Amino acid sequence: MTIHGVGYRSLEYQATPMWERLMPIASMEFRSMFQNRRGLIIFIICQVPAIAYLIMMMIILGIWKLFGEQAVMSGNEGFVALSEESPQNPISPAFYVDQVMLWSFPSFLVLTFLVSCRAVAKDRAANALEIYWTRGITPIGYFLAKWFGSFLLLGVGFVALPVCQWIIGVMMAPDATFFDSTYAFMPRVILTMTLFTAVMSGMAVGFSALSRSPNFSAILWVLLMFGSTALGNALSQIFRSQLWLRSLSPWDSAGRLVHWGAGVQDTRDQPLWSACMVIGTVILLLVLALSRRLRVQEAVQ
Amino acid sequence: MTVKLEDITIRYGSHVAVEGVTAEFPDGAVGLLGRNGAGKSSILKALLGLLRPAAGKLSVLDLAENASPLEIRRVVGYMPEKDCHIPGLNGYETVALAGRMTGLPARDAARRSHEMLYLVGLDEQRYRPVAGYSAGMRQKVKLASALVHDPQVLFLDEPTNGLDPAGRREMLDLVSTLADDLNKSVLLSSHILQDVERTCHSVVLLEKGRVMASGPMQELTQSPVRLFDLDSSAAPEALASALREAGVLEIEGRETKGSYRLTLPDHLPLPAIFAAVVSSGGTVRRLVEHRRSLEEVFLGAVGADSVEVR
Repeated sequence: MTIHGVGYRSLEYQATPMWERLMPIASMEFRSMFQNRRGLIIFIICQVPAIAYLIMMMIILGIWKLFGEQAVMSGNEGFVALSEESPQNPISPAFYVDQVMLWSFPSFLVLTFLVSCRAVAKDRAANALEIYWTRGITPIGYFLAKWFGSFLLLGVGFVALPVCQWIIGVMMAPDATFFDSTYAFMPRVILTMTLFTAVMSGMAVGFSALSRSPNFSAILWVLLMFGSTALGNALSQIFRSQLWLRSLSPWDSAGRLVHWGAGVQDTRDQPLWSACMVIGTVILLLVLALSRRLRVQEAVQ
Repeated sequence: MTVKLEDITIRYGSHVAVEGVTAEFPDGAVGLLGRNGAGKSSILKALLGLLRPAAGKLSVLDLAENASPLEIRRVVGYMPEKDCHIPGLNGYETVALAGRMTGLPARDAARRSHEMLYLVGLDEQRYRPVAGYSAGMRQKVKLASALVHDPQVLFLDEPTNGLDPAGRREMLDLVSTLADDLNKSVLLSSHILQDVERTCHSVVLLEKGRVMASGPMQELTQSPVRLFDLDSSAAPEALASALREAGVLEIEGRETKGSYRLTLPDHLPLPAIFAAVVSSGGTVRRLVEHRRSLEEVFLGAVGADSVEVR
């Protein structure tokens, strides 16, 4: 040894399966939000809708008697007193869906702006793709790992917290009425919200793979999401008979599909076909673009 | 034989980067030398499975010719040419992640990361973000990442890129250590002649995507005729006359006083030179066989008067 007199030891090991090789990338992507205090605070703020709905549920269930014994309907009376279809009623699927679809759009924009739509672009900017793709993983595996990490991050607010609310509701309710009223639709709600989170996080991560600059990618993504939502809303207000115009926004289109999937009445009445078309077109375009941008040759040129 | 190329052709669209290259890379340190754009990196990338050759066969160690890129990368460590790092990670995390992505279990990856960073001399800085490292430190992290899974073969693409003289010397010492002391097969791709000359036992010279010369350094640098450098205190005229009498074919005076380059016939024994110098009234200060520098070999191979390679 010429520089450092350290004994080099040879290594015998059983190679881990592919999914285990990808897990550190997914974990890194998920943890990237929590690397500093600012990120943690922003993340907590992004969960405010879910926390607010949890508090609302506890008040309605009479677990928290904020207004004194007289004012609060104890036990199951709270949710029974509300209409079954009311989105504020925890025995309605709308309770779990609307807290995301109506109130979490800003959280979605913030989280994707900070993490998801920078995921691949920041690696490309640092020439890190050549490091990843010359190891024991494939470009598709790399993309899936980034996607999964981003999905987990968004899934905390969009899936895990609503599920936690439901579990808390079941545990805290004085009898089995709450469980009996909700268990039938909850799997459908959970599945729909999981799919929604997977599609939206996949879109954001896919978007990040198109650009070399993480900032450019993030800003363009927010402009696209926010702009298309604003445009869709404005146009549908102007041309009231053309309800499909609201579907210009991927968020609103996904929301329409979520409502349909979870069996929740959607007040916006945009046609299902237009929502399907927008989401399908965005996914198709992204897949076509990614098949070029995620080629190994892109990283090694 | 570590790596074997048979009639390899690599194209980027209509541009032919490598054409009909056939070469064998033996164990030890082998230099892949050529100007920028000669096709060195393309060959390394084809060996790693990142590029698909338009024609020809590649083999690495005893792996089958149709081995998957992932199988190849398990036995090969690759140090990229570009300045690259994984954003947000420190040195330890970078090397450990490289290990895990190659298939190391988490515990082994963590242990090897510490060991490799110590080996390359980054043990003190391992918990600092790589983004804040100097160019030399980043090169070392790349080398540690290439070594983390204990590969038998190392592909080092321009490992001294962007390094100052001290950093360059340190990197080349490390490469020599890997090849000579740790018995790794190192394929060093470089356009810097001195780097290859200093560290490699064999060399493959590339020019415009073709192999111009290849073989052990000793053989390549050997002169086609017997040339010897002589330093002597004898008077020049008397020495020249005595040497000619002894049978020396050509005597060429060098810049330094008392230094000569002699061209000897095949049959002339060296003691005859000593005797000639003594008979001319001088002494032999130095008599060594002249070997060609790699630069001369390169110039001869590419048929150029000057080269961009340093």
